[in-house]
Amino acid sequence: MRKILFAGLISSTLIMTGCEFLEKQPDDMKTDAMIWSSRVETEKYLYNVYSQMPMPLLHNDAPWLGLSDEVDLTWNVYPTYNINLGNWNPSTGYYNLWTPYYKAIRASFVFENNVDKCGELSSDLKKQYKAEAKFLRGFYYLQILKQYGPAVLIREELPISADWNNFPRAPFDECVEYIAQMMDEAEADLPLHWQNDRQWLGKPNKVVCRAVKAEAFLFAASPQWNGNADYAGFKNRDGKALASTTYDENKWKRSAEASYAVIQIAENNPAANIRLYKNNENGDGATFSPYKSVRDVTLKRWNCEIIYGRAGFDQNAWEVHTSPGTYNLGGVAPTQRVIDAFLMKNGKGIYEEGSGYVEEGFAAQGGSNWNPRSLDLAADRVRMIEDIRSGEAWGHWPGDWNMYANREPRFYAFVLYNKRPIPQLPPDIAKRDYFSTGNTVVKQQNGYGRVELYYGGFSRGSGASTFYPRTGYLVLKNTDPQSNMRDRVYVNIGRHFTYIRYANVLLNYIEALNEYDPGNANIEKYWNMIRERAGVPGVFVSNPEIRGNKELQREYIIKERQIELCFEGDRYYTTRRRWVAHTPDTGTAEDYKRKYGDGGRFWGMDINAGEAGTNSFEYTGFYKRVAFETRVFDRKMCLFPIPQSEVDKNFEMVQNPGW
Amino acid sequence: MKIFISTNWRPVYYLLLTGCMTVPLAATGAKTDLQRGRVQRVQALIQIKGKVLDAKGQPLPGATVLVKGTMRGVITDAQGYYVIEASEGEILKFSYMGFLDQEITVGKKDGIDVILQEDVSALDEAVVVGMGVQRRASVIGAISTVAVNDIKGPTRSLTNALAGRMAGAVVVQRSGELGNDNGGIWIRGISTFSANRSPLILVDGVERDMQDLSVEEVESVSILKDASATAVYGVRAANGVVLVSTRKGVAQKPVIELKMEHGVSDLPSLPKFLNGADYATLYNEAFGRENYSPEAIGKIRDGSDPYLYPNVNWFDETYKKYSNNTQTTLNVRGGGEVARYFVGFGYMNESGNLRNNPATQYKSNMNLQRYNFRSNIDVSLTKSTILDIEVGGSLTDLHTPGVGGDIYGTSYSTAGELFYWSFLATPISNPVRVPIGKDVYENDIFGWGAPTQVGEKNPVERLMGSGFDTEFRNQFMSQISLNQDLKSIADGLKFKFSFSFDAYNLTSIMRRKFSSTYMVQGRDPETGDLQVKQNEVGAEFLGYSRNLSSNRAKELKAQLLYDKLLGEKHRVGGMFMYYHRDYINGNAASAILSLPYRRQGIAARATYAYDDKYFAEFNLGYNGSENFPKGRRFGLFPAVAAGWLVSNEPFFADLKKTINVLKIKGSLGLVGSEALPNGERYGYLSIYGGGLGGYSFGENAISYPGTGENRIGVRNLTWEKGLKRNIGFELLMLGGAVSLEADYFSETRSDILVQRGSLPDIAGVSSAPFANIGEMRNHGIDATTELTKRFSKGGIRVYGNITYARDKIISQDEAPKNYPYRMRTGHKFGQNFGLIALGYFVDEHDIANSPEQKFGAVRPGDIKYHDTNGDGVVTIDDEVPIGYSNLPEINYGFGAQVDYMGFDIGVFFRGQARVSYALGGAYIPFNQGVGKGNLFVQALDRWTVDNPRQDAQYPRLFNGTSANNWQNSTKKLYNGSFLRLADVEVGYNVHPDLLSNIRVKSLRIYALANNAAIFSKWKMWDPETGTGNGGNYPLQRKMNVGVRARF
Repeated sequence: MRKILFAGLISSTLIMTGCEFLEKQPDDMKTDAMIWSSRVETEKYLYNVYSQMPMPLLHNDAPWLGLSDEVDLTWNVYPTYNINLGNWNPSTGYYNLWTPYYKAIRASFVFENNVDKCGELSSDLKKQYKAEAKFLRGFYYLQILKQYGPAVLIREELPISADWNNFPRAPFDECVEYIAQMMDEAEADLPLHWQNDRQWLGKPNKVVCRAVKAEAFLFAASPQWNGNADYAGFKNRDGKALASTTYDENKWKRSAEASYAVIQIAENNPAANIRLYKNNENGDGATFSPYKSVRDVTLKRWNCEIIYGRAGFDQNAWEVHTSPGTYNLGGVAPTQRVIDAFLMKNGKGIYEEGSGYVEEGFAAQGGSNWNPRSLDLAADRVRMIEDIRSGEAWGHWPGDWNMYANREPRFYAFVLYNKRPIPQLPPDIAKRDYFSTGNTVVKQQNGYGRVELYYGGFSRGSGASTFYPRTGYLVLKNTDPQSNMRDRVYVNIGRHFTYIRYANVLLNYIEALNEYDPGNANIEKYWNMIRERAGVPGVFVSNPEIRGNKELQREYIIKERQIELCFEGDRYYTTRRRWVAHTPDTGTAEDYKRKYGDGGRFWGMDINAGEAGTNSFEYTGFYKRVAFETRVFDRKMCLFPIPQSEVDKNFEMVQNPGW
Repeated sequence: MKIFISTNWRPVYYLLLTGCMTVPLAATGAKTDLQRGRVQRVQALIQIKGKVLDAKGQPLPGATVLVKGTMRGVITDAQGYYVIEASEGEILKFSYMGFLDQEITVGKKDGIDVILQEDVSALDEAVVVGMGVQRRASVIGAISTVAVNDIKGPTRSLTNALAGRMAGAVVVQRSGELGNDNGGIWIRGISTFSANRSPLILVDGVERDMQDLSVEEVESVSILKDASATAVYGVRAANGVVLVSTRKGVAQKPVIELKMEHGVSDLPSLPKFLNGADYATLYNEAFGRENYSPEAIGKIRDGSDPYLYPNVNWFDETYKKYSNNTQTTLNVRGGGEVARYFVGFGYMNESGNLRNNPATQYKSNMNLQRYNFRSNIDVSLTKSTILDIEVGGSLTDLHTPGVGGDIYGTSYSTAGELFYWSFLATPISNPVRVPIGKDVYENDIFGWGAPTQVGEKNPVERLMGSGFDTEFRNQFMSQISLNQDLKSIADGLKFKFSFSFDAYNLTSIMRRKFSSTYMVQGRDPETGDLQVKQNEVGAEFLGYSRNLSSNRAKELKAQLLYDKLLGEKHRVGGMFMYYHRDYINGNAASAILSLPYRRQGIAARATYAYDDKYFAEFNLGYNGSENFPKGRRFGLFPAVAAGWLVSNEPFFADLKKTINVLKIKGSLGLVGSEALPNGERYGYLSIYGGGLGGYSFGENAISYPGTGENRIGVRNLTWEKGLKRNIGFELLMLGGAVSLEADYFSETRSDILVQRGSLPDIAGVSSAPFANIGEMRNHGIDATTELTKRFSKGGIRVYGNITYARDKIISQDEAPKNYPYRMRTGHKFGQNFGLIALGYFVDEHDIANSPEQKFGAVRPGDIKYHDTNGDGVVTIDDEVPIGYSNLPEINYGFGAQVDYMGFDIGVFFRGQARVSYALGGAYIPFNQGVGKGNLFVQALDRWTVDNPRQDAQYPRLFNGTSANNWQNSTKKLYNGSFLRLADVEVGYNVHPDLLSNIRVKSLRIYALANNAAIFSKWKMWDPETGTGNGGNYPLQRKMNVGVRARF
């Protein structure tokens, strides 16, 4: 027995020396070879390249709303709060999208370099997939370019052992060229549209490639990057300029032509199904309703206006954050600036002569569509609410504050103002009354659920609640009126999120065209298209004095953008590329009339006025313009700082100016 | 057959049984003795037979048996048997070289078996070392051992019981939450910045969790600190080794030990919340305008309308003052020639300090019950073969309220989640309960109060209305070992083969729900009735879900041991061993983690001692790790050590009366660490998984998963290397009354396994690749001392130990920073960095004349920072190292015991110093803005315009987290040093004379306090928890009484 044991000891030692005990490769794991030989895995690799496409769920993950001059996010735990107060620097690491985009860019190269190995894919599909990878790379670079300025342009798959600490940035125009090149190459191998294969909506096509290229050209033509003297010192360590300091009008021309190319495809290819969304052309009633049309362009899945977007947008978070408290988080608050930008129903700005705007007092009469069926408010409450939710009834009610009376349809479609019935609640009395104060002093529980945003009101509160809009308004855009925000029952789950819609293209086009050919008839043609869909008279009808005046037309085009594309993330970039974001506070009591400027005082209604116990809709002290915040903005903030850790690790990469 | 002159029938019985036929009745007359006042009659000689054994049940041939005071004596035969004649009342003296003499008075029995205990001198005592035992004299590695009697407190976790008890062990208990209170343990601080900094823990030589062992089943706990002691563990040994041995059987008559202990527990260091009225006042101050009128504040203060103006201290509502705990253990130990056994059973029952809901059958308080069982049996199969069978296990039942889990991406424990809600609520958010109607007897029916806003929850509803969780944890450990003495091949050669099988599983059953909540809307001004509306509709019934996790481990070892004294002076020893281990995580998060974890290696040791004066030792580990590619998998870890027992030198002879033992020793060796960051495995393989994610397409938003490199494999990875040096001495003076042991150690860790830190993100890799980069140094001292003095009726013992360890990062993959002083390299691992706070800005003039602070607009009362680099602006560039890291550099413990006439009292203190923790979260008033979050009473101690004190704890109140004030700085850091009165025990050992009638050998009655008091500069919570906001369940204080008896 002893000898057996002894032999066992020796032999076990010997086993080990030639051992296989540790040699248990995880052989059922995916390997490189397995991925590129399988169609399914190769396609999954491509989706991995797609995965970093932006999805600003509620703009907590993206700053484009909270940092823009159109919105205040009430939650001071969001980084936007600190950034707006100037409390950020390259080390704070807010909204670091740099990192994920570069990961996706690397993946796009790996995909392109390996997809040909896959025997299970047809050569047509390989071509198409490579084109998709190129498109995505260009798209990601454009996002980097917009947020951070000139990118480190990596043009191939590099080994891990590359000298990563010595990659300088590429000049802005070079980046734009690369993006344009990617879009051109991708376009060649992509279909014109996916209308016949709608399961692939969300993949790029020829139109998308052109539209993205046009957007890149628009940025390159804009004052921030086209002859901006402020960027004279923006250079690499070797002295190479990263931004052009000489103005080149041809960049506008290039941009306009690129946008026009998209318009031409839309106009000449009905199969591509690209036009502005109108309800009556899309099976929603026989009569055109501007209110329904502008409201539903973001709600109706993949409607004809959507040039590019992504599928599977989870709007729940957005609806919780925009719907009134305290049951919801109600705090995506439009600023007074955007409220005031909305036109009157006659197409004029509120401060323009003949606009019909009245600042004070309660409206004696409702708007023309507030009660189209002349329902009895008490007896037909349920039908009335159904009309509001469906979009049949819209516009101000008698007794609304005059400031909100007789405004254009887009105002009512996009903004929830004090006292307006909350659309996203069912017609159930208890559920609606939940949002109304019902004590004997303020008996506002009438089954309509009119939003109380004044001090002491249910969705403002007076004590410990922090979930209320600091401006006295809430955003309504992109919130489905059929949702039930008392029970958090969502409808229309998994709709699209829009990256580019046809209105963007039209606005890009007329903005660029105006810069070198302000008299071009196409300006009026395409501008009016947007105005007509919005239900307001053409701009040269309401404001004939601006025709042909490049500067004035520019003002009005930017304002049209501000209204049409509000709360979609466009405004943040528009004020920056137009180089107006640093317009300072006027210092006067009428600073609220300032059109631009991301710093200084920001205005809203007086949500702190009055007595909590007795305030009601009758209380007029609420409707006073007060500054709710003084923001700190510096022109360096037109670009995000590159994360400090990245600057530290890559010696040749310079930081953005001012940071 | 003769009849005894005796009333006792039993000797007859014995005689019959033993079959002795003739017994001389002749009286010697030589022995007349007075014993206990009884007159000893002249007795006849009887023949006594018996056997002499050692404690392992082995017979001792050649032992002397002598009748005391006479010349009559015999010697045991080859089987250890003897036969001798003696009369009742005479004393037999058994002696054998190397064993303690034993005397036994002859009674009426004529069969007397004796077990002699080895006479172990201080130098010959067996010391547990890595993979074996050694004589104390020849131990030249750095090993600390704890006296098991010192750690027998009412502590669930054995790890926590070690805190402050051993030189070289750094134990930090971060939480007192039942079942989740296991502390962290580090040997001699930390020596690496890689992920794996924990020691290897071995129970009876097998890698196992020790926390749920009952201390009553533990024989010894040692830590192996230097390379000489740990090299045999090779690639697992770099962070030191903890060895726990359980109690084994001994050859003796069965001894039964019973311990029962019961007492109360409380939470002495729970943070304190501010009351509602003061909260409202500070709210107004931070908000900058009067949101709460003086009238409202008055109503909150006087509590006249607690529904409309609530004033709730959420800790008072969720915690009760006292709870209780019970410990019971029962052990039996004994055996003889054939088998020896230790059988133990333990039970403990601890309750938390949460309140129960009177309305539910189930309790909402936490409760833990643990049952321990152990049976260690060794059986002598042949004279040279012993089979050990060890089986141990524990069952832990944990009952908790139905909370704990993920909140916005952060995982919280049960208590952690309750803290979360209490921190998020405010004293004036809502009443705990609101009347929602009347029952048939016109009594109010109450519902839970609803918080004012989304995201908050009523903490009491979460405690009492959330249902409950039960968790069972079963730990099973077994080992079978065959010990073969190979004397027939070579004298001193032994072989040991062991196989162990361990299993663990955890079942968690969650019966959870949310209860309905009700919101107070106001009062009807006419009737005064409260207007309430339902906010959330809760569940009627408890839900059901469960979690399972399990693991199992198999380990095999084969070992050859050799120990022989050659000639008079040369003692040589050797050890050679093979082992492998196979561990499976039954609840692995990924396929790759579910593969068996395997380890394999050989270890060898050679020792040589000359004349017990000079010692040398060579240790070798050769083992492999699956984490590295073939060809790079196995590593060789050698260590050498030498010792000199100065006190055995002839020249020391004169001094030897004073200094009994003086040993000087030193060691040098290389050990390794194989663990990859984040618990990852197979670092050389690229792993493909979900990649960056998937994407959705189409009108119906069909989502498609992605594939991509989750990790890029690195082919040239290898283990981390630790070069450990140790030099020390042992001193024993005044006949053992004073002992002192001290070691200086230093370690250089190189090729540290990390994820690359200097790769910029433009590289685009999904996760930073692994690499062997960096070097770190750790050095320090640890020392133990003890003074004991016995007097005739009592004695005194004073003891203490200290560990000082300081580490430094020599190099690491850190990108250069714009200012060299901002580099983390060159500092301690985890060194806090931040700005130096100078005080608060006095006024606008002060702000204007100070360097501009670039974190946001500042006002008087905001923190003013030092412009370190003198560039006129204060930015992140002005950060410097501040404080220490969050692992204490100094750990110490000391205690004293005094006994007199059976009474004794003992105290034990332990402490930590040179440690800092960062503050944050709930520590910052209104950190999420006014209206959200509770405040601590300390928030009152703030800078205000009316009282602009520079010594205020807090700067000006701010609505939100002020970016300026809460930069990392000296103001956002606290000193975690403390001294804890860890144990106080008063006891009385009942005199054995009083016990003889009740068949009890010894009886001890005692009272103790565990975690009795803490002394620290930091007052807001227990600094040992190391939290930034006091959000860990505090360490319980237990005040128990108990009894301990041996039968």
